[in-house]
Amino acid sequence: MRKLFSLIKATFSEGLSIVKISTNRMSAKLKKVLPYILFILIIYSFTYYTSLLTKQFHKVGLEYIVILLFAFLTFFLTIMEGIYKTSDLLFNCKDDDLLLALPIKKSTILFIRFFKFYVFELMYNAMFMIPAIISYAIYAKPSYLFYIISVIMLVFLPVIPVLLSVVIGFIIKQFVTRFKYKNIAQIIFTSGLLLGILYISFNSQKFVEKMIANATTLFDLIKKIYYPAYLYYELFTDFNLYKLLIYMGINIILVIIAMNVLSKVYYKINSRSKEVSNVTHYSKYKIKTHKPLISFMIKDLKRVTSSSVYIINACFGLVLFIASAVLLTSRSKTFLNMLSTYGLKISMDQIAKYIPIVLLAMIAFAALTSSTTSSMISLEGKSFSILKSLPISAKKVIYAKVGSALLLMIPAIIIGDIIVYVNYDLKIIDIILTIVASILLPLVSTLLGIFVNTLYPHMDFSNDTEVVKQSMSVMIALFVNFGILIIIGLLIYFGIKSELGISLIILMVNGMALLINIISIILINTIGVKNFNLITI
Amino acid sequence: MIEIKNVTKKYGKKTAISNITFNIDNGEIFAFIGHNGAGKTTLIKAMVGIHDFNEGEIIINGTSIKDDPVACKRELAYVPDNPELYENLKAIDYINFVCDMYDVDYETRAKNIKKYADLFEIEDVLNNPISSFSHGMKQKVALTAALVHDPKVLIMDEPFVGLDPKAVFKIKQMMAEMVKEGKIIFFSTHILDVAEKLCSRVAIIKNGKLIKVGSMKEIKGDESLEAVFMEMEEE
Repeated sequence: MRKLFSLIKATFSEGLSIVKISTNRMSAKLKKVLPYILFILIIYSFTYYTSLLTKQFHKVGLEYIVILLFAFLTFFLTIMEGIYKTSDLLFNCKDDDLLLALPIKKSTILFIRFFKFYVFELMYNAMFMIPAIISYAIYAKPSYLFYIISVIMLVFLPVIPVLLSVVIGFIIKQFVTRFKYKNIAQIIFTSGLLLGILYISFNSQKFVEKMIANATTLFDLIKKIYYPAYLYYELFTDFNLYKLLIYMGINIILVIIAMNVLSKVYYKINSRSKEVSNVTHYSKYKIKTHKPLISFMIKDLKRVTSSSVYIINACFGLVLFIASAVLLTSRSKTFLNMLSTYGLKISMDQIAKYIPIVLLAMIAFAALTSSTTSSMISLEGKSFSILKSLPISAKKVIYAKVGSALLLMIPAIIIGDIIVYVNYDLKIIDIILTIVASILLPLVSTLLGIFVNTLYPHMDFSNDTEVVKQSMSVMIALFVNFGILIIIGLLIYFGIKSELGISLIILMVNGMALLINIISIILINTIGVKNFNLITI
Repeated sequence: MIEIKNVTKKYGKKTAISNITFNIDNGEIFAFIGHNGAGKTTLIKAMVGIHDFNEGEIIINGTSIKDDPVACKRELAYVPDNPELYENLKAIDYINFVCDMYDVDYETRAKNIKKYADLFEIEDVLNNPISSFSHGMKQKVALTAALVHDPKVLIMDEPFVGLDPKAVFKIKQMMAEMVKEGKIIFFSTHILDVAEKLCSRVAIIKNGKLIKVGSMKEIKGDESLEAVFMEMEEE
């Protein structure tokens, strides 16, 4: 047991960068405090919105629906996130050689990695579940038992979805390691699976209809789909110790079984995933020359495309954007019919009028939910020494990274725009304004992301997921982007309410984006460059 | 010429190197020796612009690394102790990338890649990904990338670690050729025999302080460098 604790301690000291902050900067105190302030803000804002939702359910005595809904939401999100994180968190870790040389059981090593994965998901889930628990407590005023059960359920709820995603991740990895280009195969299969899950979810018409029609139907649906969420409700309404112990026992047994079974194939898959396909027959190498900035962007693009977790993370929102653009054009009549069944009669002309705004909202969502640069400096890892010894200024390095990220984002957004332009008759001015937004909004997230990464670099990591999904800079960048998204939403809402005119609303959003970009550039050129030069590994 | 003047580097409250001063002239092979954690890598990283330093000045061919780091870096090449290269790139892509950073024209890079790839016998594997290489192979790629732009100053941190005897011999040959052309070679090492046979001057660092600097003859007299080093360590 002591061995296990030592291993967990050692792994965590390297791993969970979210609580690891570099203090070698000027305003170290502020930087230390900032993440905590942001965390409190996240919890506060989530609690605020959750309590608004709970208030509505409270009017009809169904406030417990919020707990069920959030337990189900975290289940769904954990699986979606977990499937593509598994590849990096469990396989091909940089500490493989170190751990493999130690006299430890295979299942123990697998368990340590699973545990680390679980702890992160627990923290992630807590961001959603704690506001739900607080909101429920405010309106339902439950007994002390509710709080005890909530703590237990908070700990146990992520176990099954994490295990499920680990099993799915194992199956995908087992499959893709047979391919020559394992990384590309990993990206294609994982993205395909995630899109498939989303497609099935969005096409479950009955489920959506029932959700809208009746809250108690939703209650029944969640009970059928994810029993632990229902059990949570059952435990705090009619406590049953036996059921709770059974549930806890099942979770623990499932973990033990999964670790023992999966560890049988773990090393086989892990070593196969490390095999690099070399050029088997000699071919003359090619000498290519590029301008430093272009060469840097190519290098960065090769780095990020070699990381399946980065690509899936960065491109998922963009793929959804294109899919939404297609749906907006091909399914608009179905959507109108669906609205009319709920008494909302809107004509195609009315829809067409608001298309530029809908498109703007989609662009903002795609651009601001894909924080592509907030991990790009960290991804340099230990190669950062090489980079710093090269005769290229910090500013060029930073902007090359912004350029690489924009190369990934802007073409996808423009494709989505074109799909909408072809199918709807937009005014020239709105086309121009939305194209400008398609450049300015991705710039907002890329410039802010890279700036945040200069403040919170995490250069020492054992796998890319630690940087791309779990690092402080990514969390902060996402939160800031989320805040900007809300401001854009408010601008649109009040713009429409005040009948400002579609073009003017888009112009206002573009103006705001331009202002943020100018501020970001000033921050990068001053504090960002200074911080970049201070990064050490 | 490299001028290191009163350089001090602190990590928080801990002083890693203190008041280091010495010069390296053109055409010199200079060895930097000291025990583990003595501060060798810290000084090297300060010389190549990876780390900043709290006090002092480092001047490379007349330019201060603090005032114009990019100009200084153009003059030099750095080979780290542990070559953490871009694993996702092919060796040739990495070398091309480094050449691009130094604005090396097509003809020069073609000639030099051929020259050093032949010297280190890596021509056949240049199209392979770096992630498939052993430590020694990575070191050879790092050396090739460092040398393709004809640097005036070559700074290496433990360059012989992990290399096979043939590669070590070839590096020594290459170093001899470079100093003939008036270039500077500065490296840290634990292999005192190599330092003794190869270097014209040497500096010894202990606990962050420079305890001896001078020509090989001045430092060791009639003794071996190893004996002198051990004496100094025990003092």
